[in-house]
Amino acid sequence: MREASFLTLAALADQKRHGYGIIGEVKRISGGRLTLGPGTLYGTLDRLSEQGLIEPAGTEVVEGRLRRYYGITASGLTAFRTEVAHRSETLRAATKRLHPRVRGALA
Amino acid sequence: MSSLERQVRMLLRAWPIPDRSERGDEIVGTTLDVLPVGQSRVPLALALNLVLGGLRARWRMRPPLWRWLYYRMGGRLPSRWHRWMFNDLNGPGWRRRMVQSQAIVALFSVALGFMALYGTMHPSSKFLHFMYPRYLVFLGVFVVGQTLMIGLRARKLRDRRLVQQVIGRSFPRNPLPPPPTLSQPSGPQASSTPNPSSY
Repeated sequence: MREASFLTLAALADQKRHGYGIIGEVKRISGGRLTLGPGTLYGTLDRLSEQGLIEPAGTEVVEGRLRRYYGITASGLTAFRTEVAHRSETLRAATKRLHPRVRGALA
Repeated sequence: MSSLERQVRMLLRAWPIPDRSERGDEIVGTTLDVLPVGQSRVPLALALNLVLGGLRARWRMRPPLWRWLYYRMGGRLPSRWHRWMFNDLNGPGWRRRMVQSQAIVALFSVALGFMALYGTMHPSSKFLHFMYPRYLVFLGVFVVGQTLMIGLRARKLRDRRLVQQVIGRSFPRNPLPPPPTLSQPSGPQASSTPNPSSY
């Protein structure tokens, strides 16, 4: 799963959000490292909804601007959990290699 | 419409037409939200991001080359590509696309015949020399004629093609069965329908 897809799912995992909300949340989750542009965001949203991982959840108009909300689906939540598990396994393995001496001491 | 919004809508033209009509306002809204207040021009990086996103969306929407060829030769596309297909047959410029693509297919098939002719004959063959100019004339007449025919009958061909893509064939192979004859209601059916005389 691509970074943008993963972080978008992460942004939607707790609540419904609109496009601008997702951009802000992704920036927050990634600690400011990843700023999604609208072109990237809508490509990602397209791909995720094609896979049935997210779905549109209503619209509203604020200051004459249309906002569509997106929510995560049940299969989206499952995919997100699996991805998180994979990534934390990878992280754990990678972190071990950061401290070879400690590992040697523990072994 | 502010000048900023006009700029964003201009950039949005990189996106496929169905995307623009379904969610153009949404993308414009998000882009304007992203821009800092008081900005009068869309920054270059954001403009590039929008345009590249649009080109990617166009690319994702298109069927792969072999499916496209199959479709152009008259085959059906799976529903995954129906969004593209509907725009191809129904979106702005459908008539031009239809004529253009048919001309290309006609040229392609005539060129295949030409190559077959060359491939099977000795280069010094008298028959080949006899055929060559006539074949070129035939090619011209065929392609121009077919293009004209398609242009004239475009609407009908388009409608037939839409039906073929969605239902599977352009007309019923067997005549439709006669509608079921209405039988006299009896038993519980009769009691469930209100009797007009009782009002």
